[in-house]
Amino acid sequence: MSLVLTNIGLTINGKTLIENINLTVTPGEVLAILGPNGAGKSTVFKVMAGEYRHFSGEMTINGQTYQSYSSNSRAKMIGVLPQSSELAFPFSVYEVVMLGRLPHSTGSKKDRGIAVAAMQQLDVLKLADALYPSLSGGEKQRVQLARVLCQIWQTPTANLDAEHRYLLLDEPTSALDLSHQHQTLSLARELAASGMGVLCILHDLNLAAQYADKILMLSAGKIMNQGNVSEVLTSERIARLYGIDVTVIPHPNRNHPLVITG
Amino acid sequence: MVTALIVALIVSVGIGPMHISMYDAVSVVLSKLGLVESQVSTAMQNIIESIRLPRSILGMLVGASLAVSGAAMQGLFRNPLADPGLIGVTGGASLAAVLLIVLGGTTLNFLFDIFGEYTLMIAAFGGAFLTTMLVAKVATTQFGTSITSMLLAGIAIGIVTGAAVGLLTFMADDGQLRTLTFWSMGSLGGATWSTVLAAGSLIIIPLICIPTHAKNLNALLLGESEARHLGVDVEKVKRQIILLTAIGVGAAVAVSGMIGFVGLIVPHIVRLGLGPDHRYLLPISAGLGALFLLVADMISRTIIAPAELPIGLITTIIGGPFFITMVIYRARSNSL
Repeated sequence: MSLVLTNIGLTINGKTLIENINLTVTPGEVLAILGPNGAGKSTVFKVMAGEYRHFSGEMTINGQTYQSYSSNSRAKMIGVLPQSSELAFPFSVYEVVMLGRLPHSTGSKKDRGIAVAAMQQLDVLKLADALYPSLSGGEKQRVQLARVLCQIWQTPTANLDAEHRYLLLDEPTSALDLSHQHQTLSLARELAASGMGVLCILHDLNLAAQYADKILMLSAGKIMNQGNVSEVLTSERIARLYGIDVTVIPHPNRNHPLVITG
Repeated sequence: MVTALIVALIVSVGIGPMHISMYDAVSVVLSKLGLVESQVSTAMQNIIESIRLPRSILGMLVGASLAVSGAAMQGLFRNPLADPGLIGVTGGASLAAVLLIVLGGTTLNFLFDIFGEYTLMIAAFGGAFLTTMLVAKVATTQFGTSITSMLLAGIAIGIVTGAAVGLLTFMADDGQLRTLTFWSMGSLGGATWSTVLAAGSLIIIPLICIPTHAKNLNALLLGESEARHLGVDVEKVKRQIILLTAIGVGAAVAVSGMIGFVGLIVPHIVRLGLGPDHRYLLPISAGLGALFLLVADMISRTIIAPAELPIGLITTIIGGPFFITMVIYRARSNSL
């Protein structure tokens, strides 16, 4: 069971933003979407996140069509991490994380336990009583991820095949320093390893090379290439996608390509 | 909170040009409920029964309604400065009502035939609804709600409705003029049991329905997209909140005129104490709003007794500096 897009297209005001999008987010894997600005990455992302209802083509979640779910039951399966999230009101970290339980009606005792577990996993439990607006950018990102995790939390007893969860990340690293970039993506990897399907828009090719299983290249609203990292990340394809010259060599210490500009 | 409200209600019934002791006030209320035999003179009973009690109850209803509507609007616009008065909603409601007061006897007379007691309230509700929609439309772009546009739109609407009301005062006769003056400064003086009943039957709707959106409003504070990702039907929630706050503000304005800043001060104080969670914010704001207006009304009746200061002046005298302090504080913390 996966999150599958078949022939997805979106036209707004006569302008075609994306067409012929076929992709699969497989549980246990990280899929990175690459492409220049305006290629339609965000549009594909928003279709999956449920922001546009009037797309053409078919989207299925765990074998059932997107439309067959209520927005509430979709929210239990697909979590979305926003690029950045400002809050004008002084919610505590714990309260922000608890908002993730909104689509559930599992009772406040269970919700509290899940919120604490999610905060633990993202190492923000010590910040539980801190006020969200006072946190640093990296901490805010981790808290938001804890909230999303809380939203799509899976009990160990659940029937895994029928209830796979998906995490969508929109440029999760754009506002972060180097160490937080790697922390966030390591977490995404860990979550994938625990059985979640992860989709991630990235700009940094080397982050994609290091953390993704599969890469999808998007250009002018269409898919240019997709496949395993080493297949897709070649100097010719990158040159075609971004219009700049790059050299791709094997990473000296790891088993994935390394992209050097120039 | 409930105890404080009951005590304030009893005190407010007792206070006025004719002093009535707390004991007498309680015994009249209880005797009306059939619980005890009252020993109080008939004159006193009449004052309490037909003047003071409806007035105090109306004050509580209006206060609760304005405070809850303010809190809900702040959640909707994701900004603690969104007060029904500041963003022009009260102005829109009052323009509609003034239009009716001045032209009601002539051009718009047929409306009274249709709606009776509720005509003024329905007009005020319509005005409130249209202005909220207008402000939301002007201030909302694809990037979310712009606070600057929202406040500017509110100021502009406030000026325009103010001018229109001014224009109408030239067309008004003496009797209407007095109603208008009182009205523009806010007053609970017109309270009778029938206004209490009419306003109450409308105000009860937002008082009950807005708190059911508490969790959705919490999610909306994260952002509209984020709320959508949490499974909230954002458009539906926005429509309902706009409708409910328009009913609340419209009914309040129709019976008591322009009583400013209640929707700003009360939720802000509750947030300072209890945090921004709407599950607590909304009901506590309702209670505190009722209490706030009761106290403000007591001040208005006693401070220059036997004359009476319009209650809207009092809330504005308290609220204006309060608002400026909030703006200064927010400017310092760079969040405006």
